[in-house]
Amino acid sequence: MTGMRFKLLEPSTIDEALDFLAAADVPILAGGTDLLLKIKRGLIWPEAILSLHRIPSLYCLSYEEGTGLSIGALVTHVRVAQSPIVKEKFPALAQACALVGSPQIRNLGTVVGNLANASPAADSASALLALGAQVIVRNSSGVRQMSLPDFFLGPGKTSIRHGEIIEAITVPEPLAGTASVYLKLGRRQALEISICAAALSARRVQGHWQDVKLALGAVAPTPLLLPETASYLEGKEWTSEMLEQAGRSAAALSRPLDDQRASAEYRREMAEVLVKRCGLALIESAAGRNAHE
Amino acid sequence: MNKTLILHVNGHDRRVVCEEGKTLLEVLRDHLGLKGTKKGCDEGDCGACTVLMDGQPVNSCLVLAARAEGHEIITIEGLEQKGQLHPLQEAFVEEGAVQCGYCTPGMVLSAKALLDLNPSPDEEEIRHALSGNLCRCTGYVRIVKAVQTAAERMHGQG
Amino acid sequence: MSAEMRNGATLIRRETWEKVTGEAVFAADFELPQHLEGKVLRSPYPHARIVRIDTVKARQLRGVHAVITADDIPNVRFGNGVADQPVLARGRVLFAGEKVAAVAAVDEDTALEALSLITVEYEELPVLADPLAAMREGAQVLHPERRNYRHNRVLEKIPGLEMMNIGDHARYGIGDVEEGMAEANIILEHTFRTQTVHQGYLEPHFTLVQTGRDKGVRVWTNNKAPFQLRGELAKVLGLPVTDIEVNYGFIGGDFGGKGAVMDEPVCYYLSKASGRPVQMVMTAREELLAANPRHATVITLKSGLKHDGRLLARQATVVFESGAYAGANSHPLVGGLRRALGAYRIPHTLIDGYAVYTNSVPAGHCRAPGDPQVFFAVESHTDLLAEAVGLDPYEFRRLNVLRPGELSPSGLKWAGINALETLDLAVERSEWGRTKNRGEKEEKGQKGQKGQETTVPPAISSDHREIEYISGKNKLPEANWKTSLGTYQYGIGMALTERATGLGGSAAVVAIHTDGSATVISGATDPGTGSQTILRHIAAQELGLPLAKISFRGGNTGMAPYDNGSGSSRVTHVTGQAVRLAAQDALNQVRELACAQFGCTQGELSYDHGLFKSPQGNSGTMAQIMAGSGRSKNIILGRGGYAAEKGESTCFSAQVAEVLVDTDTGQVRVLRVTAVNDIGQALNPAAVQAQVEGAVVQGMGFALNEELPRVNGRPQVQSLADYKMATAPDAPSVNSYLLEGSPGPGPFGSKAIGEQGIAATAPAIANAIYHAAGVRIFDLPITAEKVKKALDEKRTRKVGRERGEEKGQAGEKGQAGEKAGDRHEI
Repeated sequence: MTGMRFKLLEPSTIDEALDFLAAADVPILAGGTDLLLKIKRGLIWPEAILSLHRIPSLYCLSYEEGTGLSIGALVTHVRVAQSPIVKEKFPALAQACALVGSPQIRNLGTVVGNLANASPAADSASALLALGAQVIVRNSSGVRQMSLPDFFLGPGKTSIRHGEIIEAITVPEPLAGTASVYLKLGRRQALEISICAAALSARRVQGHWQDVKLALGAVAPTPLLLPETASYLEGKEWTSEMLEQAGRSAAALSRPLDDQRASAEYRREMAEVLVKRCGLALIESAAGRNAHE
Repeated sequence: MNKTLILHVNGHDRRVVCEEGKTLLEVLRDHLGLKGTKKGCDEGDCGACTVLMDGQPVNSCLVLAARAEGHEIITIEGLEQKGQLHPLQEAFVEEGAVQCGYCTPGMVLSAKALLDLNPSPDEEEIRHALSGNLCRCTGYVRIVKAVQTAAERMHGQG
Repeated sequence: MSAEMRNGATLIRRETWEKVTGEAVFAADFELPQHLEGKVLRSPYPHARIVRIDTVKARQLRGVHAVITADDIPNVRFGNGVADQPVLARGRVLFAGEKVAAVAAVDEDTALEALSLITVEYEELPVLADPLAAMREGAQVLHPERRNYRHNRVLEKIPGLEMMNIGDHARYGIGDVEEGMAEANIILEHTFRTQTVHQGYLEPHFTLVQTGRDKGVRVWTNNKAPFQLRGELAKVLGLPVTDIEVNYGFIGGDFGGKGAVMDEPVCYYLSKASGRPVQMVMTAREELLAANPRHATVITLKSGLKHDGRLLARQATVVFESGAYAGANSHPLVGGLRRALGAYRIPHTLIDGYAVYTNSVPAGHCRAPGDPQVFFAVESHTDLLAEAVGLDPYEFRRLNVLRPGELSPSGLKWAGINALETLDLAVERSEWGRTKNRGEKEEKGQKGQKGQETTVPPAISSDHREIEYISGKNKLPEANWKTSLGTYQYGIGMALTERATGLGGSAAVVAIHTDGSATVISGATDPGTGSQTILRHIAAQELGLPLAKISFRGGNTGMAPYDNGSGSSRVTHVTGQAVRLAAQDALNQVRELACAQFGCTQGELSYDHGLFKSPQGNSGTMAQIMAGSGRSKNIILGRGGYAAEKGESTCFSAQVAEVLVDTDTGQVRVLRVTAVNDIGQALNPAAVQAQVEGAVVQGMGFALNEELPRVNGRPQVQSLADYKMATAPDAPSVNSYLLEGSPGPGPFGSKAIGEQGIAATAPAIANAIYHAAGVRIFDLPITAEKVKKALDEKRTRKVGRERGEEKGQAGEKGQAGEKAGDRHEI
């Protein structure tokens, strides 16, 4: 079999899907913007693929006060990007989803699918890392949950096992005063895979920043959560110099590659720049909010 | 193996028998004879294959025909209503926004989706909405103008 | 000339209605029943001997109707200027992407599967990746059998060169460059490199070939020069021209890339082998890998000038990297070579141009072949020269730009030189005069500082007319990425370029129908330029009929007269003149009818505003004359042919680019480009400006973001995702101005525009970046990474001061011979 010639499995429930997967390990189709591309490019030649599109529960994007956000496997980037709740409470995620590809890609591609593809440059990945997201996985035994850092194993590799489906991503309710931002750097304004990206989340408490989480994209084999750099910024009022120091720390911890899009050296330098700019953005947003209070 | 699908295209139900791996783009062009939707890069990077699915622009080269079942598909051929062109189509012609015409069907549909949601977009919003439709001939200058002109007409301003 | 034309009214293209409804037929929209899908197996190696090809399994696959390799077809090479390319690689592959085998099967998937069943054993050979290395004596020779190739153009054969990889060499010049350099006070030399870029058309190459006992060969294609294609196929396939018929419709963009033979011979042989029509559509990957992109170049410019800034001498070496084969070009040395001297007065010049074979993709024609590369070098160099003598870039250009009647620096006598007006208008209509000096904010109305007078350009003279199109809101947009908070430097830069009005030979027919309406029958293609509308317009003008009464027919080389093809900025000029002559011829025939009806002589008959009149008082419209003419009205057919072998008409173009440079990331955002084109007479101003707008954005891509790099011959960019063409948010505002008044050789004094808008953009942007951030990049594309690196070097470099002094000293007379050869990179 070659190219786009495969049997299409279309279960209508998750259980049915799991049954198919138990019988044969076939690729799972969510939005299609990654999987179909791989098949067209001849990177994989599956005999069958399993499409989730007939399973209604997977389209659910929900928010529960106190608990947080739940993004079902078939929720597209556009819905997350345009959701007022996400924009308000999880701005880094809204910003990241708004920068994926193009309007057409955002209308088709799913957040979960993007994560499952496990590209280190996936936009929503670094935002979700900085927001402390969890992955909810269904298998024949039931449900298991894992944090996002445990989910990513390497480029294109996740800890999802054969016979499992990601049901949803959950993002915990942010504590009051939390702000977040996502910055992406590329060679053009759309249809772009990041050369470097950064996501920062932190909570403003009495003049300093707490619960700092920082993640970088496209500078390591996986999207990279940086607890060390975050702890450097933890509990402090940020100055320009501190943010620069944080940038240097983050750059030193990154492990970027040379490729056709950019050199490792440039990626490291940009990591430094973006981390600082993320910090400045949060400072600015806090100032803006203070002005309103 | 073949599937039988009922696709709702341009307001009509169309019965299609096709292989499971066929994309919506292939079915539109090869099975339904709707050649207005163009095949460009076939990988979602150029937008020439853009159609509206439930009012939203998508790259039909990345949508399996089976996936499109149950959704409303609009192609460029579906814009004209009873011999009356859509204001966007008229504006594209009048403003000189069409040169080779290959990007035009996808571009017009993306613009229509924008104006249906946002009747008075500014220039940045227009460019952003069209960011998934490449054009190599025009430099986008008159395309932006055409969308602005259409918006003014559709919004009821003289 | 009608009032309509004088006012430059916009002509709405009739074919545009078809394009906005999706009805317009492009090549791939057409299909033949029972056709097979063709696919090509391509070499992954840049240079290798083919040891063995095993196609047995592929042939056995169900649904496969033909599998061919070089052994299955005649040993023939094809090409335009020189026939150096085999249909399928024979014995050796010379670039990664070269065709090695081909299959025809019932559908695409089967064809792909068949390809996967073909095994090829290669023996890798050393790769010649760099044109400079390939030029050296002793380099391995890529085309040892060159003497046997069919040459369609005369190449200058220089003894010894045939054994090197130099496909062609040419030399131009005036005066005595040694003498000029000796007189110079300052000599500067710079070397520039430009990259391979794709034309970027959205519609991929399409070929459908049908062969058959009595059918001859029928081709359906989106080639924009179908008559040339027909001629080349006749030679390659060994058939009379009359046996080959090429059909064409609308073309989804061309920009030079669809003029060469591409997949037609392969499809022909597959069709012969299978007995069925065979079609091939290039995938985006194949387009980026193995179409015919723009030549990469290495350009060295050395100029000698006086302290006051006057140019005395220039020596240029331009190396075009042909890639593995040069056949896609009408001549291995593409036209831009002559431009290496710019639009300036230089009494002593010498250009050496080389086309060099390497193990890379064969380069072809890409919008203004050679010009963007050469002018990037020339106009960057010009700014460097200006800086060396302490002149503002505009002042330097004003001082040296050619005036009417002066000889071009490559020895051409141009008719009508309005380079100065073009330059002045660009300055006047842009922010140049108000914001040129560094350190100044981008605010309107501020005068220059630092003791440099802000030059006020003279007003445009009254016999020149200016047509303006302002794009967008023209306010400087927000920062680059929506959420980034960087520091941006504003910069403004200029460039002045020229390009000849294209030449060629085309014929046309105008038929006047029995009701007084008419049809233009022409072989001209339309890749988006609106050629049909212009040609109808020209006929309408000549015939004194409204545009709506003129139709256009073509579409097939069997039914339309010969046309040179769309491109080379020639259609308005050459085909336009042919149509004009054909219309005049048809009109004369109707005049005869009118004379017969009125009983007057030709000399007495007048035709004005659509009315024939005799002194005796008879009058009639075209329709009336035809109605009264019996059977004679059936046979009104006008014929016109126009062949322009040589020309002295050139078109000047000046652009001013405004940029923002993010000095932390090196990213460059082009805000606005002001473009002025010397157009002679704009027949359809909106269409002309629209082409300029598109050209500017292509030029920007060439400057900043587009490249098809190969490392040791291996392509690094494999998909459109990584070939960074501008999206709508990337594109700048373009304010375009057309300057009329210096007539050209086309109908009604028109010149050309297809390729005249693209060469000034890259150097204008490069110069603007230098103004903004003080760094100059000598090799394209100017990526953010390169800018950042240059900025870092500038910050840490202590020798920056020393360089400035070195320059002055090196230029002193007497020392010029030693230090002047040093490259000065800033």
